Amino acid sequence: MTTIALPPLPRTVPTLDADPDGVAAQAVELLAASAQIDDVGSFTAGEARVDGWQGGAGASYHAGLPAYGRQADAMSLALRHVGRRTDEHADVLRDLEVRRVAAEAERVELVAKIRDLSERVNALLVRTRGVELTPEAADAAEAAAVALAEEAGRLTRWVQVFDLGLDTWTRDLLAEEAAYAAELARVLDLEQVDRLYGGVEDPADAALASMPPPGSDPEEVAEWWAGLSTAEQQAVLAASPGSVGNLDGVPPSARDEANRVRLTRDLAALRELDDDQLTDTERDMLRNAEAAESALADERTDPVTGEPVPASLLIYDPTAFGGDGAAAVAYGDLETADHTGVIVPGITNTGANIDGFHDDAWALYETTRGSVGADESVATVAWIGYDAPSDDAADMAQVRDQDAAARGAERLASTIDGLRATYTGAGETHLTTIGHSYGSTTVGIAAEDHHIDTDELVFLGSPGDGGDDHDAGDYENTDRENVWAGKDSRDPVAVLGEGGASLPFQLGPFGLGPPGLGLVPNVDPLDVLPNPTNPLGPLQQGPIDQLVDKINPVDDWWEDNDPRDDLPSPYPDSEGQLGTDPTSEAFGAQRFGAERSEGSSNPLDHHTSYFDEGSESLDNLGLITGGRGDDVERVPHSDTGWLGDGFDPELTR
Amino acid sequence: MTIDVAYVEVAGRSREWDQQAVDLRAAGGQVGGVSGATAAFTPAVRGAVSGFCTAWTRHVEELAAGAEERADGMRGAIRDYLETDEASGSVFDPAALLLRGALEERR
Repeated sequence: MTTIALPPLPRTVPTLDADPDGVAAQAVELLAASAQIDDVGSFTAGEARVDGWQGGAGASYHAGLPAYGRQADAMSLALRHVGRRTDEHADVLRDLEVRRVAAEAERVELVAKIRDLSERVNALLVRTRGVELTPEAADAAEAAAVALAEEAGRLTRWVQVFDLGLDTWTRDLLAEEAAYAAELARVLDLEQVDRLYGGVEDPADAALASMPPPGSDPEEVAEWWAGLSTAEQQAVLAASPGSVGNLDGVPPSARDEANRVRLTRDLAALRELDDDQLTDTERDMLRNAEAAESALADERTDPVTGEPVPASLLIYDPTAFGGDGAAAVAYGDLETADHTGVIVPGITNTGANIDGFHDDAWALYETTRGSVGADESVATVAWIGYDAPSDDAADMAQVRDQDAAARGAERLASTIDGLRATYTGAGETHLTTIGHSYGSTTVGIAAEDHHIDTDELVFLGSPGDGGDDHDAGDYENTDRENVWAGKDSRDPVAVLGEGGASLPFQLGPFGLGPPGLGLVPNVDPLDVLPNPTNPLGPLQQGPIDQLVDKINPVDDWWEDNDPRDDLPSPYPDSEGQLGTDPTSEAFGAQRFGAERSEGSSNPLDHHTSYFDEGSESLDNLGLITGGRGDDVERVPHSDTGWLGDGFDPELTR
Repeated sequence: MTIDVAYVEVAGRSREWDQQAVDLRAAGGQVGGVSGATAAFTPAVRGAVSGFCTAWTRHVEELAAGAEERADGMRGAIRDYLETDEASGSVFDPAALLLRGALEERR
């Protein structure tokens, strides 16, 4: 009978005792330190000189500068090299870990097959050993044995290949460890550093010298960046992260890298000082930097793949806008995503708010992922790239006009042009720009004046569309069918635009009062709202007091709790200063459902809940961002109610 | 008597060297911090990483000390200048007051 040689079990897969992400984080620390040293070198070569300083002390001072500067420059280059090599080391470790995990899975499969074979061999033995077989049975047993032997041979060869793979894996790890350690050893002391890098020209210098001037078209910037060698790009990111981190036209992945270096450096420098040593400007910087740090630290998991979704830092400038700061955090790959959503917030948002506002971008990412096919990719951005009127009284006064929105619109247009210019996926990304509150005014102006190249345009809780032309069909790059407007009928900000339902009937106190106070019955608006057969009185355009007077139990509450009192004081106190209500029929956008599921005692909750998980607003935003406009729940325009244009029909839904 | 304006510039530059020293100490702290995070690396290279970071923390601190020395040297030069006959008559000159303020190392 044929002999069956069972295959040996494959060797155990070794563990990898390392944290590649942790190694990458250390690489950023080293690059940030090298950037700091590079700054000292630049300072020494330029601003440190005091040309008019005569005499011995001055001469001595200047005589010492070149050597000091040379040392700083050499150290910067050496440390940058080690930082880069450490980042590569992290990549190699990641790759080794991927191979190791795959090997573990393969081993499980291989062991299962060997055990199965072993059981079948044993079964054959039990059936044939010591048993008198008929010739036919003996032939069948022999045929089975031959087949099992062949299978055993195949598995044995598989085990050999598998074990060789483990050998290769181990050799690769050892080689990488040796190479990495050698890189560290070659720049251990300053003599080595000077020998290797002393007087060496920094590749970043020539690259930066060829950079397009400020204000250049993002397309031009993208061409410049693509024309640099990899070494030059890496040098620029490490030596001058502030030059490219916020430069539209530089790929988002490179911007993220630059901004992380800058952020890491800022945090280290500012935390080096005690709180009482910080200037006011530095305190603002630290607040903004820590907000960005915190936003990036949140761990997110893709709801479809279960894979981690790292955040990236598209904009980071903690000193922008007089210390308010600028920041933008993105989820997903902006360079390849099939669908991209950009959210523009409204007043009171500064760089310090990115930790919190980034949750909206994540909510949009998650919901959009759920609205598209599993093979379609998504990226979203929380964009605080403009100087939104914030808490400072003088700053807030800008809410009365569109100037801040107009300045923001220009910046937004540049960001979107930059995203378009650096997209490398198939065709073009399906891009949605969402403006919330005053941010929607910004978005409207960006579409009207700068013709932003956005497939979908969304006004959310809008106090007005901004600009001069108030027709959703007039945007150059976005069709009326793709201009969307959503508002909760009780949103006190979204009634400020001209042409929509007016404030009194939107904000009637029905159901908005705090439960338990006894002043406001917790009633359904439909129970107390007027109806055609029993109207409360003249309803069109009536002042709020008129309505309140007719509902005595809530009078006191209403006077004390006018939701407009919760708005920042300089907010427009009459309609139309920021444009037309985008949910109005006159504007002609697609109005989608955005009602908050429950009333709130704080009217502003109706303005700030559009990205709440599970809300119809967020669901519709996900469909719009995912290019599923046909599935969006459309609702009547706000000025088409059966009681006339002062009444939003959504209040009765 | 008027103050040599170059010394006003020297005073400003000394403050900038102070800032460079602060920033470099922060950079040294970053390199040193890597040394405290060697657990992320494989055991075979942890020693090399630790050794590198120890050496480089020292290098960067020395560079920071160099920046601090320049700041101190400039303050010394200002002090010497203020004690000269040329400047001694300018006690109430705003520039002289500024220079005296610059003798103190502060942010």
